[in-house]
Amino acid sequence: MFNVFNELTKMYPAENEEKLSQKRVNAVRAAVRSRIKQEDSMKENKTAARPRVRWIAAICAAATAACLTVSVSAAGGFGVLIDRFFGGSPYVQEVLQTTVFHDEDGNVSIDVDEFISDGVFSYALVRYTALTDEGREWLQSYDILNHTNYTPEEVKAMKKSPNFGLYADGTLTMFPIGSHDDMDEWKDENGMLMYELWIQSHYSGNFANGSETVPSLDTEDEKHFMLSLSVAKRDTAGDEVDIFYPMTNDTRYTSLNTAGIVKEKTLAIDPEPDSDKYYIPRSIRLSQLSMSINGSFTDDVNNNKPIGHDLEVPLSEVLNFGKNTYLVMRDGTQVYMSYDTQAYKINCENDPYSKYVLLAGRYKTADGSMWGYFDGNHYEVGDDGEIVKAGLHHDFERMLIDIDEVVGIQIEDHYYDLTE
Amino acid sequence: MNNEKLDEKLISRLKRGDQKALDIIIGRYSGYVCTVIRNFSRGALQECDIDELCADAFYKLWKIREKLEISVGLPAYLSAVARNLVKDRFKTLPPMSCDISELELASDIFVEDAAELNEMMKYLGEGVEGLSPIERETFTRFYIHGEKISRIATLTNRTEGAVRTALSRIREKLKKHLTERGYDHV
Repeated sequence: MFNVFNELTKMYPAENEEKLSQKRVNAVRAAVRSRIKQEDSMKENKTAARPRVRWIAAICAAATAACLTVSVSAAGGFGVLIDRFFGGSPYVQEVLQTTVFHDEDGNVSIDVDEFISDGVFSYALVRYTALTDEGREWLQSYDILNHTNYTPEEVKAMKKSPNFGLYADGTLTMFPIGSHDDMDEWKDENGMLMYELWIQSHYSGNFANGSETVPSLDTEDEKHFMLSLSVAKRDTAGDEVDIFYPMTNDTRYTSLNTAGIVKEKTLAIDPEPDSDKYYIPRSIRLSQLSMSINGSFTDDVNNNKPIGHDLEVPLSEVLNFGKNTYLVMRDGTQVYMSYDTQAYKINCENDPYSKYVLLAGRYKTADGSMWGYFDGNHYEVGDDGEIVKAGLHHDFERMLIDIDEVVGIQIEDHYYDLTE
Repeated sequence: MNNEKLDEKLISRLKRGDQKALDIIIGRYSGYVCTVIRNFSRGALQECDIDELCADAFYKLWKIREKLEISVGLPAYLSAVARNLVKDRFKTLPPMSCDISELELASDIFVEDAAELNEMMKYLGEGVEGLSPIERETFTRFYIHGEKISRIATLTNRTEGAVRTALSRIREKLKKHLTERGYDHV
């Protein structure tokens, strides 16, 4: 049937049609979801109808107050990141960003359903949805990420690369990431990576494909991916991270703002007098998600080293320094962290004494494993001689903290007061 | 895939209770719906009211999803829903300082019930097909997008009086078409 209204709305588009900000669209989505959830709940409880409230206004106000944070739970359709990375940590529901991005190309759509970041560590739940048969076919062939079989020689070759990472699909698997110089066969004629989904900071060379699939969420038309990123440092160059994502005919990217998602502050540390240690802590950046201890080293040799880990100080000592470091909270509890970054050179123009991130990491529950790292030394060889399973993921359960409750930090044998 | 086919696909998913399809629809049409609400409300609503009605429109779409048969196209359907919501809002608001006579002029074209709205718009579409091109544009801009008569006059190089006359004729034609098909209350 000739659809006259469709034709007319195309022939005479509305004058000055508004292009809403993503934030406003998200607020509408959140409001509609909230209303649906409320109605579902009322049906289940068979309660009398509640008086109509200005529900979107309430949600908008709450979103504005909390930089568009909407409290949600896994039961309500969100909270996958919470379950995967943060367990039942308090505060995380308050900061979880939902439905933060949407794009589509006619065949598939992509949504960033969940996002948490403090600018240093970022987590995103990405969902692809097939909109057409062509999109479904493309999505099903999105298997470039699913290289699960490598020969032992290939694994050894990859392990020699400084750019070595992982992704997971049920079992964890090795995967080269980094410069992508060795990935030419995956680039299109414009040099853009095809099929690759990754997250990258604006102000650091660090990026990660970090893609874990989430098969439990997938349907015939949907695939989910979990992205996580550690950028080691944060300076003043920007608050955004980019997500590069392939669509059926091209690769695109979007920038997500990380500012204000979680609370954060930087506090000065008075150096320990007459210290015989090789490092001098000068300041600490605290966020609800992670912390970094900034400072310098005691000799010019180390202080003039370029970015990286090639210090004169043995790395083992750096690691020992991290093992004996924890925050002290007002109620006396201790908060430990993962040791994601050690001795990473930074450019702090405002603080010439803080040349390095001495140590940076995410808070973790006390009973979790120390390392959030992937151990590539473990792999299994199948009957045909190929690697069928590689890597052991020594993960830990992350947690968020109330930074206003931090009163001090213990670094090895010295306690530093952090009260403002 | 063109927009109509994509909409059909999304509506099909919506009917199966897929909330993510609703998210996509909101992403595609919230700007349009807000524009329609703003146009029809003639500046009488605040931003938060517009956002609230916009969300109401999509919530209404969700509520009636199982009975949804949008033969008229999603934008026109959402426009009609949004417009009815504006009208409802004005019924509950205190008297406004602005002139809502244009709203009253338009209000008797559409009805409240979603299923009836579907059917009526289908017949309305047939009636609109019988209009001249300039009448179609006038109809679309005024009744679907909610644009002001003064703006339509500028866009179509006519006087406001000529646009009002044209709208009156269009209304009579469509009323006749609908009345012949059983909509005697129009």
